[in-house]
Amino acid sequence: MARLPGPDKAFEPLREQIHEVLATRVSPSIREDLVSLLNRPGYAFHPDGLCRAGTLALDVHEALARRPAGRAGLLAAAAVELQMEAAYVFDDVADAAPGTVRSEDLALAIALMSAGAAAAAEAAADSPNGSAAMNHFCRAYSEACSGQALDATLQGRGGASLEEALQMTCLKAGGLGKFATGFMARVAGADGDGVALVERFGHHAFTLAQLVDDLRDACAPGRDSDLAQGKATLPVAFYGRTVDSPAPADGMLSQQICSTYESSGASLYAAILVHAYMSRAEEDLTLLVRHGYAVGGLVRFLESVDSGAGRILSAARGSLVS
Amino acid sequence: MQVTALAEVVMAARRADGAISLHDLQIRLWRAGLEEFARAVASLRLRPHPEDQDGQVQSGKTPWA
Repeated sequence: MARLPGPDKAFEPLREQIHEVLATRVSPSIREDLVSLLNRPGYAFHPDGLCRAGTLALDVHEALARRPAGRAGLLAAAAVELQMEAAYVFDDVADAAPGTVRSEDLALAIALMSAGAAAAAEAAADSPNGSAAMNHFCRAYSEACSGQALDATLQGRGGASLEEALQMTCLKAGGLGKFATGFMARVAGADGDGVALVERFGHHAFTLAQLVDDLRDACAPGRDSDLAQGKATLPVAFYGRTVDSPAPADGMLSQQICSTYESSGASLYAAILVHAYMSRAEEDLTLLVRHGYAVGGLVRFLESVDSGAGRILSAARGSLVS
Repeated sequence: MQVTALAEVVMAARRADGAISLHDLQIRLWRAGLEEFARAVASLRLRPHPEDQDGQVQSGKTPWA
């Protein structure tokens, strides 16, 4: 899942809430291991950590309730962020180099999900329809899990089609966006229209962020890029249509392969998809405004994704004839 | 979302020298009925060129340009 840089101080109330959840809902025997995990680069407590799901959830609360989140809102944001962090652990374990032992991280991921569920239950208890909120929490998160399962399946099989890559991206990343926004909307007591609108925005914004991530990580000399690892992302799947053997069997990409990738049109292809999803998210914001919601936080969220994408998209655009 | 149709149009837009014109691509997408992607290309064209902020193409720097 995409992890782009973001403002640090704005995350402090969310991070404090996550700390409280870990202090009160997790066994002392694993608590320090979880804190250490969340201090790793890219995770919630690290200065570069994004807390994307929790931040988006808080922006949704502000849009729907027109006031900052209270304790229930912060708990809901902490809950979706903990589930998101567990998904990151899954990604890191799945992407680990062959022979690397990461099984202890899987235990930490399960503990994070348990803490997230506990926080969600407390947040939902204060909402107008707690059972509906928890039902969404479980169903929507499992949809994102199906995307992660499909991701692993396609990577193992190889040769993913573009349709399969899109399906995986939408389930995995879009599903997490829908999960985070939909849960907070229900906790905040939004009506059906409000829930549907913010879920659409969450789906489009997170799919957009994932596409930016996939565009950035697609190809580089060595073994670490998505192409070298045979991932089922859209730019890699596009490149696979243009050449007979997308990547060497040893997984080591040469400069020549990277030059071939750059001239294949794969970056342009992914950049077009990024812009299409950006337009969809902007249309969602327009609809939210028409329904009278305060979208300032959601606009800033989308701008933060776009600012992270700017250099990458300009690079994709820069190798073309106008 | 018609990702396969988009891929076919992008590949068909590549010229003999490997270059792709965004303007040509935009027209091809409109003609193929892929309006959402045509609008996306129009939006992409507004992005600043990393090596040439005036929008003038500096040929020979990449296989495409």
